[in-house]
Amino acid sequence: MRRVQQGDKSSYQTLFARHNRAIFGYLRRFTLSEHQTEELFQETWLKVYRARNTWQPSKAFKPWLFQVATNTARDASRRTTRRIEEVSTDRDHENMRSHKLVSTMDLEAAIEALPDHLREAFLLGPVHGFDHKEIAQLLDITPDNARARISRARSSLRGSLKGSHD
Amino acid sequence: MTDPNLLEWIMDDKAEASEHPSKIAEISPSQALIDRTLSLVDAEWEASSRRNWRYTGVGIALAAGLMLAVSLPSNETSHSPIEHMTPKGLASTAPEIGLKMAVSSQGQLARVAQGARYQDGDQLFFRISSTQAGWVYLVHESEKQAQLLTAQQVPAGETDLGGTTNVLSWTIERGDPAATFIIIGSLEPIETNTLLDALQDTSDPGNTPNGQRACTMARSMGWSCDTQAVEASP
Repeated sequence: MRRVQQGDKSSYQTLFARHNRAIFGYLRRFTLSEHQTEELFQETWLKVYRARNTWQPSKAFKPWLFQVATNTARDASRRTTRRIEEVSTDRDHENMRSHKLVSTMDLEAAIEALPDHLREAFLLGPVHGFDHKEIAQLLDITPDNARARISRARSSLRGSLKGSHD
Repeated sequence: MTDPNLLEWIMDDKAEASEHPSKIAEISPSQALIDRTLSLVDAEWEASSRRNWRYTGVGIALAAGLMLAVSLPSNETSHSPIEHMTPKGLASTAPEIGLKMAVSSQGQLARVAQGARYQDGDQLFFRISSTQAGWVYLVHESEKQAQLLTAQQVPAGETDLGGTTNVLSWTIERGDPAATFIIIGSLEPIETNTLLDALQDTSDPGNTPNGQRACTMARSMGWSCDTQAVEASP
């Protein structure tokens, strides 16, 4: 990121290549549709470029990146949604993607049904690997609060998944 | 739940983050989205650094029906004579551009016709004609605001908006009385903030948007512009 601040475009592309799947996966849980996710994804990476000089070299890049993504997702919930999307010309590809979604549909649906504050903590912690202290900084809460939110999220997921398979 | 490991992981309070199944944490965005995102960032980067613009061709897969649809004649939108004038003394930095739109309605593709009304769920597609290679910016204008939808490098000639394997579409939804699309062109990338600030100044809350104010603004900035409005059935 320091190189990005110095104007090195290839370093930005390296960061993008390294983290784009995690950011897309994270944002996907905040939205109802794939094309909304794509809008947030695009906006997050534009903000990373625009806000590059606010990143401090003494801090890790990944938490900062997720902070940008979290704020972008929160802002989006207050905005009118847009509906620009891509239409694949390859029907086989579409069918394959649909099949893949079905296999993890229950868990995805359960995560998406969590209240926003629990979903954020759960995604950042168990899913994306941030510790309680990092989550606390990202969400501006205490580490104990982060731990409690994750515990409540797990409990809620257990209930949802149990309910859907009884 | 089809994956027992996932269920076990969810149930285990002491599960380590490193044990998480990556298919929940990571989802690959489409190559088209990657291309579009990097293109947007690239546009800002180039504009802010004021380096010479570099042309790299963008290959687009076209659906044959879409190609046919936008090739069909349509009622031309009437333009005010002032629309195509460049302010005196301002050097042109824009290719001449045009916007054609096709609509997919109930499985049928057709060229968008002026005055026609479209239904909830119909999809719109965008084809850009440009006299020179450059950058184009697609804007959607509603009664509330103008939104930048995408930016793309285009070669001279006709190009469908989208990535390497996909085309972009806009879906009409219930409650949309009208949608106005504006395409702005420039030989060099436009800094996104500059464009958004300029569009903000053209918003006219309460009045039905028709793209003319935005195009007048664009031309005053030395960019080219074309616009097309679509009406939806109530």
